[in-house]
This record gives sequence, structure tokens and C-alpha cells, in this order.
Amino acid sequence: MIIALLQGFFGFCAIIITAYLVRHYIFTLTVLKKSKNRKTQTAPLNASCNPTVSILIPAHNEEHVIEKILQQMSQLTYPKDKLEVIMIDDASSDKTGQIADEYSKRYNFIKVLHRDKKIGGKGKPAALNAGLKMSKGDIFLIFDADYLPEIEIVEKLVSPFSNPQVGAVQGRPVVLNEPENILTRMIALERISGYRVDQEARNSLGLIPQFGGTVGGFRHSVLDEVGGFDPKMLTEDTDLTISIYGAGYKVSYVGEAECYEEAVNNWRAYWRQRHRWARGHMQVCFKHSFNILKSKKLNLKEKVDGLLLLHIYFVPILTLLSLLLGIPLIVLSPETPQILWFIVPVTLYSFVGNFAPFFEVGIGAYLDGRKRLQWLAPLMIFAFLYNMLICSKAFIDVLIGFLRGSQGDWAKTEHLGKGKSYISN
Amino acid sequence: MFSFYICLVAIAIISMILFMPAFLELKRPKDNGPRQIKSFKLAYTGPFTENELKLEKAQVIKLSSALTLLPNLEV
Repeated sequence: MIIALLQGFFGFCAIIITAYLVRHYIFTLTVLKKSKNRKTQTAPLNASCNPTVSILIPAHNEEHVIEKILQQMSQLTYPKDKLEVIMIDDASSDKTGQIADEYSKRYNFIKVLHRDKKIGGKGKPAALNAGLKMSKGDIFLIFDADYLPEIEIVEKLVSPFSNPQVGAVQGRPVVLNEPENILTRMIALERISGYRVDQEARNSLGLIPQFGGTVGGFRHSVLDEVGGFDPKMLTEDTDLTISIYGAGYKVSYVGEAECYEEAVNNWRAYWRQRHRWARGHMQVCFKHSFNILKSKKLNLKEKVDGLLLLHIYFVPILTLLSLLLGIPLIVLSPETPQILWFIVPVTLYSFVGNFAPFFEVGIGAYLDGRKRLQWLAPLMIFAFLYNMLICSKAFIDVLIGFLRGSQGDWAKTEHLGKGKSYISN
Repeated sequence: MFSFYICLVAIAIISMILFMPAFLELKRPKDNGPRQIKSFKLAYTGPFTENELKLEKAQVIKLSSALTLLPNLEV
């Protein structure tokens, strides 16, 4: 009985992992095909689309990096009479607020919203909701404080909104401090595969490109319709993505809208960041899975992709479980190894990463003209092993939080604005 | 027992083949970075407030030295 249960669960894990394997394979082929087919190149910018835009920059103790993004904002090419930049000083105890005030005095389109310690410091969603109340633009875009957008990014992000069905847009973050150490290089690989391949393919196939929380934005009316950012969610971006599709709108991915970001440069910060992502994603999964199934606004492929998207952080846990189950199965059941010879290779193939399977990483780097960077792809094994532990811990914390009635604290990522990068600091 | 050692050696060789390119790139990186970096324009030129103050002081000093050369119009 026990052996049968173990075999059944092992088989279930293998089926799920194989489903994601096929999904990533389809994404990679789609992007390869698109890169070779000139007719399906990205549509040109819609020059007539220039609505009023509000840019929100939430910041909590970002004195090391805030000045760079504000200077970049001052150089944006979007018409200043249709643009406002709202820097949300979220209960900062350093000079973030002072620096922002200096820029606000200099540039009349840059505004500062100060939130004191009584109401502020409770996470990004709450800060964004406060900024949203202050904003007047038809479209609003979000940038994290450590990001450096290109000066033409607003035009590129706003262009898809000429289609009334588009409710949100997502651009492409590129890791700036990539050469700093092995971890930053691996994160760069993750980003390349996640955006150059994964998001691009989901956009092309009419699936669900995800709003990533930064380098993107929403139609103001759509956000009001879905109720704004949920302050209880650790990943408000994923939550909003699903809400927007549930309301009948789409998210459009704009790969040409590029913005540089500072990736975490140590394993402890990586753990904190990815733990929040995993835990938040699982929260959203529990919140929206049933909504996706019963939604009348989503077609079948959107429902399938939506469910696969929401459950993606469970895949490392299933992979770990299936690998651990294999050992007792080999010992307890002599006939099982015959099945294992089929399942184990499949599992091992996905072992190297569900966020960035080898072929996604390799093709993403190839399409970006980074052939030497492809050589680092095998190192993703270590990142994925680490992610298995992170996701497992996150799942346990979600269960504990559910029992205790707490959602978890927002773990802020520290940005230093230093380190080796492709642009001198 | 012999087959066990063969497996270990095979795993070691496969691992070396798998990771050798990564070690080479880490040791002597030849990747030039994202192509986007070449066209990126960074507006940041230094701490804003310090530069601004220095510029204003320099201008004031120049102006004041020019004013001292003018005749005194006080009656």
C-alpha cells in the first residue's frame, strides 16, 4: 500500500515536471521562430499614443541609489507637460527624503510623497496605493528605486495602451551589476531567460505575460476597477496580473523597453528576496486558482497557462520530493527501478531549473548575442538547488502563516549602488 | 564494486566536461555584457546638491570680482 502510494506520488511529480518541461520547450521554440521570422517583429511605436503618465517610485532607505534614478527621470524624453514623477518616501530613516525634496524643488514635474513611520514602512503595495491616490495620470508606471531606465522608456511602455484591451504593460529589466560575482551572473542568466524567452513567448502565444512589479504599469481606470494593490499580498504584481485578466484585460510585454537593475549580490539577500517571491506567489496561487478555473473572461489556453504560472513555485518542491522518494522506492520495490529509468532522466532534465531551464537560458543568451555567457549555464544547477530549499521553506511558512493568520513581513532588499557593473558609478 | 568506481569516474568526467566552459569564462571573462549597454545614456553625473552648490559659488565669486571693478556710484 505504501509502495503504491509512493509510486503514485512519484508518478504525479514526474507528470507535473514534464508538463513544465514541455511548456518551457514550447516557449523557447516560439521565440526562436519569431526571431527568424521578420514578419512577426514587434510593431512600431504608436506615435499618437501620448496620454498623461504618472511614474511611481516607492523607496524605503534608498539614499545610495535614489539620486541616479531621479536624474534619469529628469532626462526622460516624454513630454513633461504630460508627465509626473511621484517619489514615495516610505518612512525612510536615511537621506532618501531629503534627496528627493531637492529634486522636487528643481523639477516641477517631480513630486515627493512622505510617509511617516506610523503609516509607512509596511511594504511596497501600501506605498503604491498611497502614490496612486496622489497620481493624476491616465497611465501610471512603476520603477523600483535601484532601477535605471532608458530615457525613451515611457514612450515604449505607453504605446501598447493604444489597444483598449491592454490593461497593463511590462518592460524588460537587465542586470547592471552582472560582472560583480558568480551570483549576479547567474541572476543575469535567470533574467535573460525569464524575459527574453519566457515573457516574450507568453506574449506572442497570447498567454499571460506577468507584470513583474517594476518596469511596467497599468491603466489607471483598470487598477481602480480591480481594487488597487492588495497590501496583504507579498507579490502584489502577480496578484494584479491575475486580477487584470479576470477583469477581461490583457498584459502586454514590451521587450524593447529596457531598464537596468541592481541584482542582489550575496546568497543571504538572494534567499530573502526569493523567499518573499515564492511565499507571495503561493499566496496568490491559493487566492486565484479557483477564480481562474471558473473565469468566463479567460480562454482555455489562458486558463492552463495561468494555472501553470501560479503553481510554478511548487515545482522545485515536487522535484525535491520526487528525488527523495526515488531512494526508498529503489530500496522497497525491486520492480520500480524499471519505471525510474524513464522518470528519473526526465526529472533530472528539469532538475536544473524550472525558472530557467537550460535551453531557455541558452537560447535567451544566444538571441541576446551573449554566446560566452551561455558557458555559465551549467552553474544554474546550484541556483536551482538553492531554490529548492527556498521554495520548500516558503511553503512551510505559508502553511504556518495560514494557521496563525499572518501573511508575512515584506523583506526589503538592500541596494548599495556600488559594485562592479557595466556602467561606472 | 568495480562498476561503482566506474560510475564515480564517469560522473567526475561528465561533471568536468559540463562545468569546464563555466570555469573558463569565470577565470577569463570575455563576455562583453548586454548589447543594450552600448546605447544606454546615463544621466547621473554626481551628487546633485554638491555640484549645484559648487557651481553657484563659482558664479558668485566671478560676479563679485567683476563688480568690484565697477566705479562706485554712491553719491
